Amino acid sequence: MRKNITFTLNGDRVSLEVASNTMLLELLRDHLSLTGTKEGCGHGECGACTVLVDGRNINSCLYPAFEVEGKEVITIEGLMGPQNELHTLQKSFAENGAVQCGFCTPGMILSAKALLEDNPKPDADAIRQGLAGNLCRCTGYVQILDAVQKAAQDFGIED
Amino acid sequence: MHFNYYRPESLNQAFELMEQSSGQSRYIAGGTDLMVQIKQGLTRAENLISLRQISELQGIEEDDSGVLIKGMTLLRDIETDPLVRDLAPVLQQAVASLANVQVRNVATLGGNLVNASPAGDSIPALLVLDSRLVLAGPEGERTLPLSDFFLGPGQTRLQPLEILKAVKIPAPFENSRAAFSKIGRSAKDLALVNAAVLIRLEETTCSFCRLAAGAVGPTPQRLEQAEALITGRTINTELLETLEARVRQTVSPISDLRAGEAYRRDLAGTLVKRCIRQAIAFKTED
Repeated sequence: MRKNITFTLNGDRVSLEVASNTMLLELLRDHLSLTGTKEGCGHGECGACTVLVDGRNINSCLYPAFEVEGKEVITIEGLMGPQNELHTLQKSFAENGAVQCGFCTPGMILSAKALLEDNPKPDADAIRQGLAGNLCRCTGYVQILDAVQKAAQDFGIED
Repeated sequence: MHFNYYRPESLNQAFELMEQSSGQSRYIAGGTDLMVQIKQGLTRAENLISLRQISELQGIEEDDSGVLIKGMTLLRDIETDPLVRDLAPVLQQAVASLANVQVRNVATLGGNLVNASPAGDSIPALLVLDSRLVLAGPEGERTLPLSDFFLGPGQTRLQPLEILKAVKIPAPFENSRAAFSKIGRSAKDLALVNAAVLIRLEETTCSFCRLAAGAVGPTPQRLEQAEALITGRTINTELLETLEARVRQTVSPISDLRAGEAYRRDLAGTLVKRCIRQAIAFKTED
């Protein structure tokens, strides 16, 4: 079973035909060449595939592509500004050493964005809760929590 | 992993699709469990009928007896809903403990119930709230108590075409307090054991209570013997210790890769006691 779907991707309208068993992750990486979104576990445990759908962070590995019809999807590629400048969160991750191998980073940043949109001044516990669905096997999380905390101070200024 | 995927926009369309589809068909809610099972090859389905587009299954409303939560309401929306905060805070406590934001942004209350996991976190909370379920089928609707819904792991009283339409939660009665507690291997893991308590105190006497626990038997369950033990009695440390022992004896958990049977028994006693302390914290000195 195949169907044409139309949705907004990083601000642009996209329309294409996909199979009924395609997950959003596969659609983004294999059909649209947006490889910033990663596949970790493939079972909704690790959060490497996190993207925003209508502003909410979700695991794209378990999200059927058919379900994005009419919705707004933001991936890590969609965070940069018009002159390719980094988003506050991206800058903060770089400046605070929150990236080692980088595999979890797109998901971490998108979960952090969803968190800050909801709660612009989260305390340490709220940040932990907000990122609980994103696993990192390198950093020990300390720099990631710092990066989000520091980004929160500037968040909203440019967005 | 091949399946057709349908997105009906009304209950009637969903019933029709289910009835007419040939081969193995399943309704799918958020899919945070079912899709994993399908990807792992543990469940086969040729047709998935998504319930996400059905507006009759969306929303949280106040009704004459309390609050009505439609089946496809996202756990994340329950967690942040002001009506649920007022009328059923224990459900918010339970839902917020489940997995992580990404999962709660997709998983639904109906899915958590119909999945019928013995460890489903919303279930003990809804049991102590004495919730009822509205089930919709092609012939109409029927209502049944949540306590009658589960038949075993993954098994419920839903008929093949039926869909869980809503959960009805009665308004809390005066002076009642409730709490939920859970232990997993890590904070956001599936519960090794979970428990919930609703209790009404008059001075220090328990005049009414409901106790429930999950992952300690084939279905989440009310702990009626334990309820009888404390009803009408003064809540003090000694009684809570007797209660803890009674809970340990009456539950029937299994050993699996997450935890052993004996450990689950101990946890059940501890968590029920912990919930009572949490619920009445402001009224006892211990």
